[in-house]
Amino acid sequence: MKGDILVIAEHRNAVLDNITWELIGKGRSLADQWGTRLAVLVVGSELDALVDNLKSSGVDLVIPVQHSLLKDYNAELYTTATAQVCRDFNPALVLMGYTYLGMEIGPAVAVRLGGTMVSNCCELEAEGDHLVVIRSVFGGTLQVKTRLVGAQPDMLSIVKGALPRDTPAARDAVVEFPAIDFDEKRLRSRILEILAIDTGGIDITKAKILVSAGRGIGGPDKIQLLRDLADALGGELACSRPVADMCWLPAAHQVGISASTVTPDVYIACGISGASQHIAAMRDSGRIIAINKDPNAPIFRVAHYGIVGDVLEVIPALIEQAKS
Amino acid sequence: MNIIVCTKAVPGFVNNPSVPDTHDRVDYEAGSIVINESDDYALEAGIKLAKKSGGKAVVLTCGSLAVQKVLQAGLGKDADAALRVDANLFEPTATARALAAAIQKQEYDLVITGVESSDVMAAQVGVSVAEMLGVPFAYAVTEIEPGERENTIRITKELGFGKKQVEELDLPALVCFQTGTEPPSFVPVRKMMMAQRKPIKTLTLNELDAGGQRLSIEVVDIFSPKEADTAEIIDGDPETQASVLMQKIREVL
Amino acid sequence: MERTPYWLIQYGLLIDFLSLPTAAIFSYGVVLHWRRIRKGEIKLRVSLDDLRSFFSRDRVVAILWNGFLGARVYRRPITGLFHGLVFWGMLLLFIGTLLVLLKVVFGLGVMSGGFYQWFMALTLDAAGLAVLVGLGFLLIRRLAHYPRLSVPKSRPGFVFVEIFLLVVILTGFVLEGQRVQMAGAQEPSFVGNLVAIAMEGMREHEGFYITMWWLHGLLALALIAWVPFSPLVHLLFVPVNAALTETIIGADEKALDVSALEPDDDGNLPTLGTPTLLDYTDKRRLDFSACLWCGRCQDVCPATLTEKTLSPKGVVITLAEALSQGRMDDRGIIDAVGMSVLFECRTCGACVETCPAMINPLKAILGMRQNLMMERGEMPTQMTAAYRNMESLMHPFSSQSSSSDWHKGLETPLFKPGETEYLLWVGCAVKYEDRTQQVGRAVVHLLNEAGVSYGIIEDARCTGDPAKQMGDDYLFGQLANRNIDLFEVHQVKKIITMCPHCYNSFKQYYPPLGGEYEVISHATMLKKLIYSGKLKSVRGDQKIAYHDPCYLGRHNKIFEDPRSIISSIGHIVELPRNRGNSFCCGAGGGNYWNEEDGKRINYIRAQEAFESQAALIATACPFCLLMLTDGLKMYTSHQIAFDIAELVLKNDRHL
Repeated sequence: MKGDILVIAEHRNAVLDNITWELIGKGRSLADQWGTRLAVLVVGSELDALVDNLKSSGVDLVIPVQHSLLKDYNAELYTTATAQVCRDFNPALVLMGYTYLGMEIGPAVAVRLGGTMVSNCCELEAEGDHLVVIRSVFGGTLQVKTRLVGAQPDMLSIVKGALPRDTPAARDAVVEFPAIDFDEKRLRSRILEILAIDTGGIDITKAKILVSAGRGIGGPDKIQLLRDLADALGGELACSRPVADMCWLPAAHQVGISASTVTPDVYIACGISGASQHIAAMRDSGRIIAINKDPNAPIFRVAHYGIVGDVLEVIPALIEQAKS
Repeated sequence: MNIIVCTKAVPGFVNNPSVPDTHDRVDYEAGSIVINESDDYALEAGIKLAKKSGGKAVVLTCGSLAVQKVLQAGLGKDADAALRVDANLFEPTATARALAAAIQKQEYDLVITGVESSDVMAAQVGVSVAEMLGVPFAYAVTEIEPGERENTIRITKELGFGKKQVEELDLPALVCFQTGTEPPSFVPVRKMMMAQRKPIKTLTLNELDAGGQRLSIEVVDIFSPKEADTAEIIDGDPETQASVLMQKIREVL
Repeated sequence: MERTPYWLIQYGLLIDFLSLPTAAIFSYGVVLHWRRIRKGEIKLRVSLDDLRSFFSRDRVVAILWNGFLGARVYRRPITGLFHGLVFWGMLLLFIGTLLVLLKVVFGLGVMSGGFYQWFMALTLDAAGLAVLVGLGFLLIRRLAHYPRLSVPKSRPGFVFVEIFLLVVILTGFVLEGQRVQMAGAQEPSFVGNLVAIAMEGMREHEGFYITMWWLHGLLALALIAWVPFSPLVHLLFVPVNAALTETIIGADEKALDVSALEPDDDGNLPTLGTPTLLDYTDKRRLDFSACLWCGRCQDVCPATLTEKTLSPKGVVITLAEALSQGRMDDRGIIDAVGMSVLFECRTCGACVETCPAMINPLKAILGMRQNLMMERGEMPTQMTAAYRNMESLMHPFSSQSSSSDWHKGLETPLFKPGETEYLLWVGCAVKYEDRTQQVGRAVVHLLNEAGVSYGIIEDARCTGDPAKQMGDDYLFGQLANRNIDLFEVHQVKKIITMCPHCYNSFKQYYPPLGGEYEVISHATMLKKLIYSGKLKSVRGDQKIAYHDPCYLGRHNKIFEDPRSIISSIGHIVELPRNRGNSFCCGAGGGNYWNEEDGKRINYIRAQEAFESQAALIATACPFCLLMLTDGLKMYTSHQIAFDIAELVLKNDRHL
């Protein structure tokens, strides 16, 4: 059903996450198609810089929910804020990322509003009166096309990097601060501490070249081979979540939505099948090279160059080349 | 602390997937039925916590008779009781409604679910159930302990980007448990056989008054993902491949 | 000339009556063993019909050859020689003593004439000397802590009984020497004659002679009575063990039909696997009783040779000690051996093949693994991924490949019920591993060319063998039953396998579950096709070494078919350890999916293969191929390991 569109922005350290631009791009094109308004919701404690940025992002309306209580991410408060804004703004469609935020508060807001939520989408179109999305199922081996036919608002969470990062033409957006009451005393959750993974001085986000190990390399004894390649290329080692979970490499090397998001010039994925949580965290790399025995591995869908073969045969040859 | 763990039975692999005329689900032949991976972590965490705090652990699932083995695995891991809602549901909201209705009939302090099922891959049911129950929730939890204050729990959850957050939640609450570093134990045959002799309580949607809602989604089609046409596949023997690849890398740097 | 038995000995006949209490004590000793061996839960019941089919030609040969002649002892020539001296010497002396008894009781004329000269005097002297020489070697070797005998432990009782026997022989010679001296006998008993010269001064000491006579006699009887309480009991056990051993190693392994197990009235389930001594069959307890702790098994075990913690001798002696101490329901024996130790076993069967006492350490290890997996839920962490894959994907690999990827682009016929003759069973390794998919493709090419009526079933995944190897017979049963149902629907009667594990599974484990098929390995099939002219081959100059896969060779005795194939395309080079003595590639027992400690087994075998200087290394098993390919990377950057099917195809293509 046609109507206004609300994008839920994500930000960190006063910088908007790329997903926000992807959602705004799609939101803008849908809003233009329908002749309705596009708004963006941003929640936090110090939002001036973000609001400024969003004002010229191509949206019609910026809705900042600003409160000192929102300095740290409290799911309860964020849910309340988002649900309240949705009730007031009454969008037909709410767009968010298939991220920790989207997974945590999306379903809660949908239930609270009685709306229809479909998550993990990689494509969406308006077909007639209904939205149609494409999403992965059965471990990513298949996809389904789903039509939303339930009560509004339609709420969609979109996979990071699935939509293009368009920058629509800037228009002068209106900023409206909603009045939301936060009763600290009635909170049933409290934040005690924020922990960061002990990186031990390793920062893979700074590296220009990453040689990344997946479970497919075969074992922790194969890590040395990748290390040799990283050294030969002047890069750093990275890895997928299973490799970090199995302690083949320290967690500081992990690339994934729960760990580090990286954008090196060259990302060499060795024996990584390409789970969406991994891909989301490295797909903005300059050149993605995938080496995997399995030609059906999802990693080949985001790679620029691919080699279907044995990592243990290709890497030594690559080291030779790098040294010459 | 009495704990209910929601687990889902998922197929190990599927044959002949199709969309039926009712468009309300995906039909397929299940090659095998296993417990969803993150639910297995949830199950072990829940049972461990229940035992530690002197409470009971109940394992709950929504599915047809075929999914009993997942409940039996839970009993095999020393859960105290098993409960099945007899319904074959595809839509996450419908599943959440059924589970929430079943949970409300039990005595509980904490509900633990997994983070995402490997078949539908929605990651919605856990949090939806929390909201339907009206309890505080946390997603992508990696540790749970009884809280310092009475009737609370202390959880650690992933925020992404290498950060974790420690929170205190008032009970009753719901957490979605993340997969972790230690793989869950497998249930030896003996325990499975002993578990098969324990009763599993069954509830119907009618009893729970949780059925009959109109569908909010329609499954239109199911297909294999498009072949990747973006990746340039480099052929040849390893030496040739390496040489071509190195050339491409040097172009970028 | 004639010699009088019991010369100068009054009441000499008494010694013969003393044979009765000797026999009684001997029997008592045997009964003690019997009780311990027969104590288990599983009772062997043998009917008359069973007995008739029991004594097949192979088995009778095995009893005589391995049991009585102890042929395996001679595989180590030096030890064999000295052991032979002791055994044959003692046998002759024993016969001699019996003959004397017969002379005394029945008047048999053995103490006179030529027979006396050449047998009783000369031959028996030589026999006694042989025993002394043999004993000397064995005793010195044992006292000097020869590693195989003393690591991890040395069997108690050996030194005592060896010295005991030595004393008996020596007293015999002293006695003979004095008799010769006193009687002035002119006999060809050369040892006795020598001793006589030394004993010249004793000529008049009749008392000494009489004492020595009784001493020798009583010691000899005491030794006989002592046999069942000493390591010498192997005289009885080895022939019996030889009779009870399966001639084909693989044939002894039935999968437990776990789904058929029912709880008893108290709600208890039967035991799964062998947590205590009572849970083994009588044959296993006989094994533990018969073990002489000789260590030959650990000298051929690939795990022991690569410095892992497993030693088959160690496993058996842990059980043997528990048995001798009567700890029949001790549940601690599995922990005494250790979980990770038990999973290091590759199930290669080298220990079974080499044991001179016909012991099967492998069955004991597998029994304990079954208990660990099916009752205690314990297995090495690394293996759990493969286990979970078996549960969810119905094959042990983590591959995302679909069931048909292995033959993409290749015309592969499907099996049509009632029309197709052979099912080509692909197997999980060929289906889901990159390198070995080539083997499947080669076989398809060859079968197509030869015009064989065959087809594949796309849905097929894995026989379930990895689960059985790990110890989970229940999971194995689930996969096996799925396949049996699939075969029934397709009316499968004949199966061609490309992997010896699949071959062994269909041949040995499936029949008790209701799946009986005619199974033919691709080695046998290709040999038939080549030698009947349906496939062409030209014998080139290339030297090709052949690695015998454990489950094709040792377990199922298929040695020559692959060799015939290789000989038809090149010159075969035998590796130092070949055929029944082949050295495992290291992948067995589920260890393909496990971390490896110590040295790499596949590197050792790859080195052996590489040093043969053959141009190519051939094998007939996809797992061996994967392991050798990996191992050979340490020695050469060229790909020289191939399956026999690939080599036949290459050869065929050149024509």
